Amino acid sequence: MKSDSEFRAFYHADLLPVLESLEAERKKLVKMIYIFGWAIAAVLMIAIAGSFFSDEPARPLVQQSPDQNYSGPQQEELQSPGSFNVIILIAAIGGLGYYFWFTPKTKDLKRRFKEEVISKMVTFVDASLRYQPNNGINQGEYERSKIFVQQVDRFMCDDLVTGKLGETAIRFSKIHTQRKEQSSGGDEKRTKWYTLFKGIFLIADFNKHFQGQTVVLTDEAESVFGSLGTMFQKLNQSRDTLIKLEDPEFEKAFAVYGTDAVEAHYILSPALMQRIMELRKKSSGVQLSFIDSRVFIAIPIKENLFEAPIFNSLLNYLMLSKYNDYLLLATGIVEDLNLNTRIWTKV
Amino acid sequence: MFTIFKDVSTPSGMYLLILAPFIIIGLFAILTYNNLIGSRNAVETAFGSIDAMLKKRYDLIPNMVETVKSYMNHEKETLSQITSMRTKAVSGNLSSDEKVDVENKLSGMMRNVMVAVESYPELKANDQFLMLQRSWNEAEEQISAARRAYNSAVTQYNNAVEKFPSNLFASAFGHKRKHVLEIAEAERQNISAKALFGN
Repeated sequence: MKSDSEFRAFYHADLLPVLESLEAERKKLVKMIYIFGWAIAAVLMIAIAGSFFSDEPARPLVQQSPDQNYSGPQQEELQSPGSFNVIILIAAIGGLGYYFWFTPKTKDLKRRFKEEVISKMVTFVDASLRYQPNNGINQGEYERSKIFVQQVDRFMCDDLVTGKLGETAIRFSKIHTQRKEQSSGGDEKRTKWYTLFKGIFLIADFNKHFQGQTVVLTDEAESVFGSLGTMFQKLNQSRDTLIKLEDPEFEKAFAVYGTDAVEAHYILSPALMQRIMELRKKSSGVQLSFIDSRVFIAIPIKENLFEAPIFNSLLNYLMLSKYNDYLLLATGIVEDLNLNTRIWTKV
Repeated sequence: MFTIFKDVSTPSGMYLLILAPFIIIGLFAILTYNNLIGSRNAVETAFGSIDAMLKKRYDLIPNMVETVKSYMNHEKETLSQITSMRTKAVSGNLSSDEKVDVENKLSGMMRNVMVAVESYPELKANDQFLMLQRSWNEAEEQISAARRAYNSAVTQYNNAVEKFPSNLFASAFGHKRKHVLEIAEAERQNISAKALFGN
């Protein structure tokens, strides 16, 4: 595993030249965005001011009926629609201009940041790793892991890293899943999106063969309600049988569900339980599952990882150092869980 | 449910009020009984798994002995003892205590053989032996897992037998505390790849 000082040296030697060139482009782009924004704002101000000082009588938005019995609002009460339309038009030009002119440019800068910076960082962690910014762990695999059983209404993934570290094949990517909730308050239907999982999702080849499914989830019920929580967990219909393990610390932190108690004990050896506890210290909220002789690991992360900031400097060592820490955390799992120990029949 | 008890002045309302505690106790007794039976069956299943895993390991012994005996000149006596112990173990005529005793001796001897392998570099390079050794490790770990699962099932059963209020019913239904298996210190230690393969 690479040390902090090695990363610092790599940052100065390899990343900085690329970052400086990207930073120059970013500054140029931001300058253009500001000029465009100020121009639109100035035109808007002029239009608003014009509507105040205009001598022309305001025209209604809808042509009034010549009907003498018209009982609607009088002309004076209506907004000044001529200027209003102009203001709307300017704002629309501003929005569309930004969307068609600047969005592709910001996307391009972000793409180049990933291809030229993140890609190098991945290779720096381990030369055998391959980085695909536009790919990710797919929804089928996410659902196959059985870590999350809630219905997913929106699935987003990117920044796929694949490779083989020692004997262990690993793949991980960013995943963001959301569920939709529609509430009908009055006449309006409101749609709210709730995050189910946001973070790094990793799949690694496990070093033992097994047939069944074992899921290790963060234990909220037991830590809050004690043995009453265990009772609730047993009643959980969306999960397999609750399996009790002998490590009290592990039991307090995690709830284990599985199809076969002996197999769950076989997978979760005392040593692996300790290692998972250590991993939990590094990434709180980590959840795992063991299915198809593979281990699935979900690490929740709030930040938007591996993305280039547009309105902040790219020459930000701390940001890149944090990205590097997450890459090390994900790849370090092979070592953390001792997955390269191949003393069983699975080679 | 609450509407039933609303009018206790009527005879049916009164009866229900009197019967309510008995119904609750009855329901609780059924749930406790089922839980105790479920836990006891889990213990039996877990015990059966240990036997299944032990059998898997016994099946490896003839192949293992056959592979190593042509290399190991100084352990011929131990190897023949292992073979006879294995025959004894799979015969099925042993009492529980004898079974445990044979099993312990067999495990100890096999552990010695595995350590002795270190002195035979040719054997360590033999692919068939390496594969058998992996299978052996797997069987050992599966036995250990089965024992741990058994102990976990026993602990849950014992909790149901001893904790209040289920203990009130447990003794009435003839459920008694079961003993957990003692796991040997050697088995508690983590298997080290370095020690096994010298890499």
